Amino acid sequence: MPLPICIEFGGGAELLFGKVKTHEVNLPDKEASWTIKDLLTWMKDNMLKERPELFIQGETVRPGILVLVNDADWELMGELAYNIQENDRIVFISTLHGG
Amino acid sequence: MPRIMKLHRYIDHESQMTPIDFQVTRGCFQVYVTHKFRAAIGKTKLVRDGEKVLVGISGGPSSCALLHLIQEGLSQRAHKKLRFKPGLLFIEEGQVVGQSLEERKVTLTRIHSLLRQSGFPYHLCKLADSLDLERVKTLSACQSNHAAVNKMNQSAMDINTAAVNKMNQSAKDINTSAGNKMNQSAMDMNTCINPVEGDKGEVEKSGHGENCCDLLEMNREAEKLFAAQLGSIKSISGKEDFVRALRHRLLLEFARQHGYSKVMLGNTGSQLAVRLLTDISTGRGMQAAMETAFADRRNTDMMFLRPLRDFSSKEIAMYNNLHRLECVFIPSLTTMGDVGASIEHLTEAFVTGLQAEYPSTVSNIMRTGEKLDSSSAVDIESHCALCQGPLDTDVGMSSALAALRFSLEISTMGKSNGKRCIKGDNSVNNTNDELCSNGVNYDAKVECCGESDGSCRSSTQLSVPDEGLVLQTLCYGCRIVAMEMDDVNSLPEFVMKDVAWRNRRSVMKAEIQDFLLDDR
Amino acid sequence: MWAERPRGNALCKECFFHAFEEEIHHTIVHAELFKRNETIAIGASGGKDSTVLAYVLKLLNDRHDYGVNLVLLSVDEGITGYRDDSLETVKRNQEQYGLPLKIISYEELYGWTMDAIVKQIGLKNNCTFCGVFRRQALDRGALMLKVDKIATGHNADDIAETVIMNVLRGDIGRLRRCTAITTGTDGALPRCKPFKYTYEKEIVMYAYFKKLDYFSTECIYSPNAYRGFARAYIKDVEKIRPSAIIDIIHSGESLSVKKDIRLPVQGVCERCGYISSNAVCKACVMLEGLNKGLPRLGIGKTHKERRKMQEMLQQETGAADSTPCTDQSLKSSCKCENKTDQSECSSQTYDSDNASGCSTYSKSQKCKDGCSSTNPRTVAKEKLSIFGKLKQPPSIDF
Repeated sequence: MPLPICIEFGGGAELLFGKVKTHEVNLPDKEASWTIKDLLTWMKDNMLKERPELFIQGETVRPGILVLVNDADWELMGELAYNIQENDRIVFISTLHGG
Repeated sequence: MPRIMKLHRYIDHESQMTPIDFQVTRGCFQVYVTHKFRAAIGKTKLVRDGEKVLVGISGGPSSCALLHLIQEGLSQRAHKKLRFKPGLLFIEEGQVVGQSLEERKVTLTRIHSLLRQSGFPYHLCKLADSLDLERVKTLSACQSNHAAVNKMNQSAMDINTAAVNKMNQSAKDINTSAGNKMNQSAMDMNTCINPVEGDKGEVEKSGHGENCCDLLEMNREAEKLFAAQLGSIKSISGKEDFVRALRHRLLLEFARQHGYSKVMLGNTGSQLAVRLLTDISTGRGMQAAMETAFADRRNTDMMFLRPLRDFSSKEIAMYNNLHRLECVFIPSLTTMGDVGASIEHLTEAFVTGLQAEYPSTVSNIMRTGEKLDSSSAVDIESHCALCQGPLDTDVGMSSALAALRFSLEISTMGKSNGKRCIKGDNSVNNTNDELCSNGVNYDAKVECCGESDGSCRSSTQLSVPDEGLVLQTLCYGCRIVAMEMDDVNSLPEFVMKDVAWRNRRSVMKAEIQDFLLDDR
Repeated sequence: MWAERPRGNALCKECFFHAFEEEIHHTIVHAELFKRNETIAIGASGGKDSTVLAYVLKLLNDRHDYGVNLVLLSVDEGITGYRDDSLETVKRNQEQYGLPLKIISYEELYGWTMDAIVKQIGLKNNCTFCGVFRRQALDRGALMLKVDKIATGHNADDIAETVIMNVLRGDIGRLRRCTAITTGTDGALPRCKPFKYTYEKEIVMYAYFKKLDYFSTECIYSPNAYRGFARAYIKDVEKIRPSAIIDIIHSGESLSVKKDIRLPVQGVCERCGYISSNAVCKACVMLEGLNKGLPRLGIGKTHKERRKMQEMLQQETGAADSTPCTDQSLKSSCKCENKTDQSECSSQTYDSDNASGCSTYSKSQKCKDGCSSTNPRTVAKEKLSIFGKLKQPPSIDF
């Protein structure tokens, strides 16, 4: 069963994803549940259009990019370990000035 | 209610910063943000009831949040209403990053609708307008309520923009500004005194919204001039400094000309921490404190306020997300650039990275800023002609500046006097030498300039001053920028006027020197 | 062979040497670093900065006739595989430049080698120890040599880095002081930095072209230092704009502190007499921690730790002693001495026994010390000199 979620970008982060702010995506079927860590890897391979280092650093997001899961800070949701649920809305907002 | 965010705060406890974390729900967060914003404005008691405050809107996240907070604060349902009268100013800077006319129009249209929806009086101008401050008086007034202007002058303007004729242009300016003033005050009544009814004004304006793009057609000469100046500055760091100085000058001049007594900016603490460290790294240590203080008093007649300085950029992003505020993305010179694209860009990456590891980084930097002296000298001659910051170049012989000067001297002189071994362009090095001339040489030049043709004394005509003279009026940081330019005499007119004025002053001073009695 | 200079001028080798040396001369003259007939101790670590400093100061002293006596002073922190090698370098420098040399060790001064300290506290924070201890070690060594001033090899990069670090830490007191070219004029021995405006890059270049003999291995414990962030930052800024290092120093020089901000008053440590902004200086707090088996004492900033220490001290000396000055300080100095004499002693067992053992000695000194406390400099000198008293006289040949 693919997992439908909504990924949004803001604050300039959308520039790295073809300048599109909202992406409705279906995450492919996978045995274990999807975590944000998995999602980031998947995004890097399937969505990122350019300059991956401006979005991902190591295996997490670059400092200065705010991650919200259903409007709540991912810090409260377990960050990389959060198990993504169906129809989650995951937002990446760059708080950096240079975009 | 689910918790949405963890807030990291620091409490100053026996001069030690004690960190506290608390998780907040949506409601709590809203209360927290509103309270902190009001407290920032309230506790300093700097903004008086009914005072006209110019709010600088860049369209970015922090200024959008600022605008929203002001709207909330002025609304009837606010618990303790704010009572100042805001006016909004957007400075269009698409030219800086080389945007096409089309791209600039898109941005401008979006900003225009954002400003229009606010219900406050608003103004649009572009960065190049700062090169011709005389025009700001007329030109920008014409922009202030643009829609209304268009209504009256639609056809006339179309003709004008096609052929940019100076005579025509100024005639139009006078026309429109006159017509505008009445409209302006009418709108003030509508929007400020009774914000709820602001919609009325909006209806009237909305029909003409698209024409905001006419702004881009105007003052093309200034744009050309600006492109040349910006282009001749070699580093991106230098360009950034230059743009910032012009922006500041334009905000200041605009506020002065249009009867505002304060300017409010939306910089967050995260941004200001980066600012402070960047200032230090670009030789602007003396102005770092005023650049990041809640109240920037470098100009005696106009105070710049930063009510969001206690917020982090993250909190602001959260707030905007909560209210679904649509910001306009304004690319900067370093957007999508490497970490090392400019000093500011590098500093931002550095501070953000450090903050991720040590959450007290930003507040530590801000605390440093708070302890630094942010008061400024009253004397105009002790301000930098470009950035208006304090002049920090009267430092004596045991100083970084003197060391640098000596270094240039000796590097160009070679071991035995006269015999040069410089590889590369000698003439450039020579000018550098000149540029860095110290006080003694400066006096000599002043005399020379005053006596040669007398042009310095005439108030209308601008002579071309010696490069060293120009640099004398600039602070350490701005000298770096100016020396990157091909010709320091191509600095904006307001700088050159200032140079000429200071020059005349010192000539006069020298002339009356003999008649002055020592106080003691 | 061309040498590129920070503001874009390129010079040939000879001209570069000349420019490099004359710039330092310019700094020395205009900052009035030296006076005729003074004896200057050059803090010599064997590294590039101090080696070049020794070489250039000797050269300028001859060329421009400063009329000062130069001495090399080395501190042996006791780091196996680092210091023993670099000390060999210093010893060679002594012969090459014909300058007298004195080596003073942590072991002698504190009873602890850095190796022993690292063994107890681990790699984190050990640089804090080393830095604090070294600062004092130089002063103490210098006082033993009866010199008038210490010259250190801190270069422009070091100072820029310190400015940035103090901004990051919010340490306004240090931020204000760190760009001063001469420090300690009000208390202990004055120190000066003739390389304040000299780029590290050029020092390396100078040493390379002059084929100076220096020791270039990084301290084996240093990678863990917090300083590293600031250093990486200024190096990156320098890449963007080569003049940035001097620009940062200019910023540091022109910072002014708000008038209503209370800055820590510089006094002297009541235990050892070294200049300090607290009642007890950091080295003494740290040493106390080490000796008591509480190595974290003095690393954290919290007042709690200091309070803990005060309590410990009061237990030690008896509650009656409410005037903290003289008595305690001398005891502690004695303790240090004792400790060195029996350096095998483990830190835990070390306590009141030794303190009381010294008491006769401290009493005899008490009055004299108490009277002279009006002038911090003399106090410092006298107190510090006690350190050296029980030891064999410094063996250096002038």
